[in-house]
Amino acid sequence: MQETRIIMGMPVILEVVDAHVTKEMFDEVFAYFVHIDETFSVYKSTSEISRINRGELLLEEASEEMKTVFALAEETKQITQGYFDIKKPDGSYDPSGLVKGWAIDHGAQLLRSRGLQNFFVHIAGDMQFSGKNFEGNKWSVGIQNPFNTLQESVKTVYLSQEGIATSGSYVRGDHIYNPLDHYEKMHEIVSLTVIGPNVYEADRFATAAYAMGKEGIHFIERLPDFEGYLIDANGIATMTSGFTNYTSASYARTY
Amino acid sequence: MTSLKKILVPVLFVAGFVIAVVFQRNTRSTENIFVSTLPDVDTLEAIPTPVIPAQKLKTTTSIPTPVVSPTPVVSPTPMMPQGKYRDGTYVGDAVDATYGIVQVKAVITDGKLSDVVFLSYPNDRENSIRISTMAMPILRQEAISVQSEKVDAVSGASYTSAAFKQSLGSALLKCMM
Repeated sequence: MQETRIIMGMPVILEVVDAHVTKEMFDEVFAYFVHIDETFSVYKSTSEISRINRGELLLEEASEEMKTVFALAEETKQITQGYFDIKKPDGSYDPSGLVKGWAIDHGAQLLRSRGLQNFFVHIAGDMQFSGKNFEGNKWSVGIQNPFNTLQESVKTVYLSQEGIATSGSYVRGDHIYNPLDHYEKMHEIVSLTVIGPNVYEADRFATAAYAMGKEGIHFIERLPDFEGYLIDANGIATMTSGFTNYTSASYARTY
Repeated sequence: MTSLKKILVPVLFVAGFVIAVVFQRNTRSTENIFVSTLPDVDTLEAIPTPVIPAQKLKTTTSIPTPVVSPTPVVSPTPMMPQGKYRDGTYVGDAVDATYGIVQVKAVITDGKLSDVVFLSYPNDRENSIRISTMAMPILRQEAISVQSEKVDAVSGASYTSAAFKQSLGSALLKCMM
């Protein structure tokens, strides 16, 4: 069973292999993502994060979810030596760089809590996998060609319990803001894909490592349990030392 | 004859030592670049880190001190600041190393330099690549090529970019009077 809905302006795809999946299980996960969007979207004036940014709501008075996300953001900022920061130059907060992976991970947990074992949850290029695909094989995942907007891949990896996330800019000149160095030329790197134990971890480290520029792949190399694939503006990919383990369908990783 | 020997031996020692020092300095250029960034580590305001105080310098060169040395010897050039560092992360200045810009970040743990991270390193000329790989772990590279294989899903960032533009576009529309 597979279904795609547009939530947060992005495609949300659920695919479940297990036969006992029901429409209600899908609805529950989609409803959760709608709730996340209504809470954390900085583009919605009624969202909780918008109320915080307007000074109408103090963090201490905010929901537990909001407090959790702020705590995770602070922890991520520390781990990445400041390269990940939800505080924008204008002083407002935008936790979307963290919330997407975190929410996908929660969506996957909801499916697991319903006894589902073989599925993926996919929001806008980032995804959490579980078990096997319809053919009983590992999930095959393409890394998107960053030089056009087609769904064409330049590398295939095989995943079963991992999360994968890609950070990048598909238009030369666009860039992720680097909070530590306003002058760094970010466009040298067009995409950085990270595979990790779960999509939340993969997403936050992909975002931070992308902001580090060419050093980002070395940051991923030093993180145990994470692998990365960086594509530069010349179409040259640099991969971490354990990355090729994932290009073989027979590789079984234990975390 | 013995008096000539007395003069020659120390002179040879000193000459050899000076040559060794010069050679050492020339072959350790990357280290010198790193050191030159250290005194300015507190220049980035974004990082709440302590300032490294002015410290005495000592040599870390491995050249043995001449045993017989009746005359003052050219002392080796100071290479690294000495003393206990305060724990934290320090970003050095971006330095023009003629073959490219080098910028490093030093991580101090338990008062010692535990990691040096290259934030920027020369990579656009053949010569520079050779120099860079001496300090950076060598990771495998390949030219990307489009795959024809069918996959279950595709990971990419263009979705987000499209959503971002869409969202920004809608926000801009709201701003228009």
